[in-house]
Amino acid sequence: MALITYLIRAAGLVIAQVLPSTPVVTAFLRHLGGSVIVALVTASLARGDAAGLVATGVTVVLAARGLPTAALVGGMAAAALLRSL
Amino acid sequence: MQGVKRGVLASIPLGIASAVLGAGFGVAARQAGLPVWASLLMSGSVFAGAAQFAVLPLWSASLPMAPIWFSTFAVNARFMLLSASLAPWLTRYRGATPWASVFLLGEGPWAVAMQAHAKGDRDLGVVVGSGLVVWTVWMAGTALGFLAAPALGDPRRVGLDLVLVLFFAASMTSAWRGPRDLAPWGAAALATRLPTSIVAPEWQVLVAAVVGAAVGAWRDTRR
Repeated sequence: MALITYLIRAAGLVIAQVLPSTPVVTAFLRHLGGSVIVALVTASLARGDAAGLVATGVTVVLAARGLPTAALVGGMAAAALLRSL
Repeated sequence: MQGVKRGVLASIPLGIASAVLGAGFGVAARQAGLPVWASLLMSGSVFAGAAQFAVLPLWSASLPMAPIWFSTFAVNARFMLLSASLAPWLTRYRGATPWASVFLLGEGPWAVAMQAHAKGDRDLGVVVGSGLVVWTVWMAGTALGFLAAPALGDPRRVGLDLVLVLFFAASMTSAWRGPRDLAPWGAAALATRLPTSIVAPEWQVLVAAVVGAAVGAWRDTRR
């Protein structure tokens, strides 16, 4: 398990180095980061409950105002409140 | 070393989230019948939450290695995208450093690295510092969860189960570069909604991220 997981982690570096740096590849790598994180968020939200959705909304709004810690705490508080109802 | 320090400081909220998840793994591993040393060995060497949870149901006296290895690969394949997206940055370092640092790469440290990258930080130490924080609390969480399994309450009540997704949501917000991100992000979000008969749940993130990045690349390079 450990070896497989490490090889996967290293494979990303190898692949990115082996690929020719054509405009398409560069653009693909540039968009990869944002796409991974959007996929992570939407995939977990789809598995979660409505409180998770509201909490994420609160977090995004606060994070967009430049308050990363308040964003986390606010989101959790919103979920805790909704679930206690 | 400055970068390591920045990585550690930027990872405090993430560290709390990882400790909670690690405790969750400790609880689950104990229920699955793993001894404490195997739980800790797995957390320390595999260091990939989703895959560790995924193989627990397979754990039995016969230890079916092929299914365990396949699940590990399927669940962790998305890590390839994490290291690939950081590659232009990591491979500027020579020698073994990039190869050692990717061992610490999971979604959490990767997201911290992306946030630092968006602010213009190009120090590999950020990844290392963040990874070390997560590794340490992941191990501590596993041990604590294993030992305290019976005494823990329901983390859902206070929203602790959401810490990680909320952390990702905050990272997503700071990764937003403007309206030109709309097409790739929308494509990635839509692609996670593909039915599980087409994309199995463990491949969801990988497939959706590739779709999103491909749409972005296509849009940017077509004439």
